[in-house]
Amino acid sequence: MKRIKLYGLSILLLASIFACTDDLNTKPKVELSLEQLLQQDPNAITGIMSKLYGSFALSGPNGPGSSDISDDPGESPFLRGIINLQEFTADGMKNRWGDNGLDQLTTASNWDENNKFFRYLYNRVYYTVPQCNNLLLVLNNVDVPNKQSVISEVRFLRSLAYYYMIDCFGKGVLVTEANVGQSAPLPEASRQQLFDFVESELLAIENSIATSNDYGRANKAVVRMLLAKLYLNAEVYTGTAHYTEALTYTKKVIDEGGYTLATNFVSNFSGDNRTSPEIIYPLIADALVSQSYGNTTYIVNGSMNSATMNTIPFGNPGGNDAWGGHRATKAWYGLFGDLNTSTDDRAELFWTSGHQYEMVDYKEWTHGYPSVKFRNSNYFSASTPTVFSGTDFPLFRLADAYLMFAECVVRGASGGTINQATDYVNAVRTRANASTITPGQLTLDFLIDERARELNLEVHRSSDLIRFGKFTGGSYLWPWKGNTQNGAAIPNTYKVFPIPLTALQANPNLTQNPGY
Amino acid sequence: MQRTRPEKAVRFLGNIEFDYKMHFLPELRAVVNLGLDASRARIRENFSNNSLATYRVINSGANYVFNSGKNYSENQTMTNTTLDSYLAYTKTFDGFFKKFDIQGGYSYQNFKNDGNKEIYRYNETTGVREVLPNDNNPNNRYYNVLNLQSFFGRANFDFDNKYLLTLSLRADGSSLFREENRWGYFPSAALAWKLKEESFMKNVNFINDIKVRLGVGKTGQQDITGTVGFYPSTPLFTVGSNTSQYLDNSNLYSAIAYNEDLTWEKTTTYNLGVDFDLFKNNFVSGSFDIYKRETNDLLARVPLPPGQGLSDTFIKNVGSTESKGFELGLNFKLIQTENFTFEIPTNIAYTHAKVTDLKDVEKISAGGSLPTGTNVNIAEHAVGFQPYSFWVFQQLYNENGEAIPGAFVDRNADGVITNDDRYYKAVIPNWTFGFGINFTYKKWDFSSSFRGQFGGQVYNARKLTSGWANRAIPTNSSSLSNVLDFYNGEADIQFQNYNGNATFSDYFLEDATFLRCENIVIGYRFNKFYKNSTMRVYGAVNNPFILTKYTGQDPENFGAIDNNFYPRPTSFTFGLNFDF
Repeated sequence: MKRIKLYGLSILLLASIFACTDDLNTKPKVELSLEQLLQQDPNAITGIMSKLYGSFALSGPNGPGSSDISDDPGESPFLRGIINLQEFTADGMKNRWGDNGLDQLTTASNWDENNKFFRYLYNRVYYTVPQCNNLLLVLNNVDVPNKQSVISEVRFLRSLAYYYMIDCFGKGVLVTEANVGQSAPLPEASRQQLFDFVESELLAIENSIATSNDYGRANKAVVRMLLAKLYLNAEVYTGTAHYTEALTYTKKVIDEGGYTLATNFVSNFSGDNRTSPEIIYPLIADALVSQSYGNTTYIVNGSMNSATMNTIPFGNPGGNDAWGGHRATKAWYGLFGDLNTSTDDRAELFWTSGHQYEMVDYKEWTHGYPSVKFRNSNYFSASTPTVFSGTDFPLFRLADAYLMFAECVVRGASGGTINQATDYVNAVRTRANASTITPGQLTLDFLIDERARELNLEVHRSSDLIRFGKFTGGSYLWPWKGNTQNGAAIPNTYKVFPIPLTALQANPNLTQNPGY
Repeated sequence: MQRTRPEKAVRFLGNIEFDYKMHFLPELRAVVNLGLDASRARIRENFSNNSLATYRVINSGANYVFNSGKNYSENQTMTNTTLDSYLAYTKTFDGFFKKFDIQGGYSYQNFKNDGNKEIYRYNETTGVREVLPNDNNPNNRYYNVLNLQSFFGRANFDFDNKYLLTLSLRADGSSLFREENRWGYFPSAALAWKLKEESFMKNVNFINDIKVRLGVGKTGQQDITGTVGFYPSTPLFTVGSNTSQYLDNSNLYSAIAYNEDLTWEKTTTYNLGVDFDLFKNNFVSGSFDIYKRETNDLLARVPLPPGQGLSDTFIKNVGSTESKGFELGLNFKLIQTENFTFEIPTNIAYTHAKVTDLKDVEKISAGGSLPTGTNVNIAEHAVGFQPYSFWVFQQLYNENGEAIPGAFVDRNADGVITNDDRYYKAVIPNWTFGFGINFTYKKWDFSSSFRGQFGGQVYNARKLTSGWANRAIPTNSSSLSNVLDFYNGEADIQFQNYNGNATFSDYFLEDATFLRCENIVIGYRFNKFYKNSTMRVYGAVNNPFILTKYTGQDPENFGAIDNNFYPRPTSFTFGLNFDF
């Protein structure tokens, strides 16, 4: 009897061991494998792509307090990062908070590789790129409708991320679906190599991407617009000018994109700007379902302060939701002459009451005028204030294409005439009730100022100033450039930002930019 | 009471052990131990009527609403199952070889945690509290499973009651790793020599007992669930919450970072020790151990090479460390009489660790987040240095010994101050010690314990957050900002701010040497308090004082960064013990 028990026990024991080793393959129930995801949601690929698009506006998967990367969810989203790097480092906008890192950007001084604000953008780009690569690999094995166009969209998003690497840091690593999974650090990719990659990608997808697409998704015109921007800045990026190519693609955007200027300038920057016929590529925001401290919420809430303003008409609740950080400088509003007498609609988009013209101390809220160009209120209908902004960000819009066309012509590109260029500039100015100019008045100096009047706060500014040779050195000064009130020269090496220390440490093949 | 948050838990603990002695071979035993630990917990958070925290304005207007009722709830079911089974064989002999026993077995552990939460928010327009919708995970469910299994064997040999040899080998499997990297093999060997049993020691009277131990063993670590969850080596997607959606008519799915190469962290320890008991009445007893520890495939969450992972940081088997040290424990029984006993227990330990390899890189961030915004880290693991060292600039001081703001030593003499001028400062102390003073006199008893460290550094982050002049300027018009007292030397008024390199200055580092009194207890015993029962009256004070030159709040801190954490309380206790 006992022997039977013993055998029984041993058999039970052995059986249980073999059954149990399979328990080591644990399965989650909340997170999903790719197979589960595809099974459960026929629209799963769009859902993964939604994340890639959202990576330029959102911070993480669980609301505005969550982050995809180890950086702060509030400070590190893409749009917030690029506003800090493109606008606050330049002439038109300053921030007063004095945060270690942000202060150095706003005063264009003491930049170094430890500054976390450089890292935020770098990390966000290198979050987006591998996520794109991941989806491209998934698409090797999964069939979806319009597959070629979907693949093209993913390649566009990856190119867009790399474009900011080229523009801001001047080099990086080239990670594609071909070298995913390699764990040894990759070699450094030069600015030229990244440029060549993005150029070839965009040229390759130009014909395979859909001509029109759902709201917020890339189409042919969006691809061409990015290509045009790449060519427009090619001389800065590679030393070789490509203004004719820039003009070619700008012209295609204008002629074939089907966009028209919105009747009212400010409707492009209002809560209901989704209906604007002018916006080519938006970064979507929604007060309820697409919340982020780093989308247009950063511009709107950051420019509001109940101390001097009634924020309600701008769709901001005021109080703690008005962060009192950003103000324009006279380098922007000074371009309109006397704001009270200017007919230009764009001159009205500054809050002057309670504020002084001169920014004697950039940390004083009342020094300089806040910009109310971006607002959370609707243009065409009434709206109630919300904590998070629902205004989409126009990353590319037609007025920019018009001014790019004009610039290419003035810079000697073939394929356009000075009269056509003047017409485009006048279309932009007429829409804003500004006076028209003659072909003779269309110069580079005019254009850099017109780009400020039209496009400031739309994350093109420091790139523009660099392309016009006005960013570094002392030929053009603006308030608090080089950390002095009237401006001081800054070194030429500031044309690219320092590579963040974390990147240099994690990949020893990477080298620092000169001067840092 | 405006807010209540009761937590209720029901727990079942069960254990069954089968211990079977073999009929045909009495030296052989089979043991099976089954365990179940299951609990169900419930949290409910409620606000009462008119709770201030639930006051909301309706529609940004003049009307308001108070939201009483449920504010949060969570249900959690934890199920831990264990199985331990082994065969044990013991055989004793006469002669030099005295005893032999061997065990072989298998163990199984499964930890499951399944729960859900009800989360609320306030409606921005109406001010009414409502359930935070989460369509993709309506109950906010979480589900974690960890499975660990082992096969093990162990043998003990006893030679002449003087030499004891233990050999063991285990194979451990963890569900956190992929099948091909899942199993770790961990052998160990230990030899003990009961020196006192030797004939030549029999007559050495002042030695009551002495034993020498020698051991080498390998162990494995796999517990990384706190940093990367329960499925760190599997490619998975997570669904975006209701507020993190993007494209119209589509859900949002993020690919989660993973590392398919993850495997066990392995530590090999070499140890030589001696236990002793000396002089009359056990006047001195204690132990001394000297060791060397090598850790390979160290598991740490580190920044990844840019673009080479689905996030910027993840857990990796990053490299190797080595540490050496000794521990000495001595217990002095100075007086032992009927009316008076006096005892002093002491211990002292020295350890020195360094990073020996980091594979592709020379240094990696080790965290050490400074409270200046977010994600500004000062600690590094660097090859050749102590793990978790602070990487700092060397502050320059004027002839009066005052720090010069923004001035640092150009250590590589290239004319500019860059990160190349930073150096590593070890912050973890090498020496730690403790001692007590205990005595009894008739019905009185007194005990106390002390603990401390020599060396080590602490970053005085209070200076960083509140010790700069511009800090005093209000950030908005309605409030003032607290600052340290510049007049009594808590901080230096010369620093307008600590932007840029100043954050990483060794100016903030201070010696963390301290001696802390952990507690003091005095008691008095009434013997015939009531019939045969006794009563003891005592007074105790916990954490009464600390001796240190550190100028901040407390030199003992998480991660060697003193950032105004909740101070350790000094507590006084008075009590009565009855013994019937």
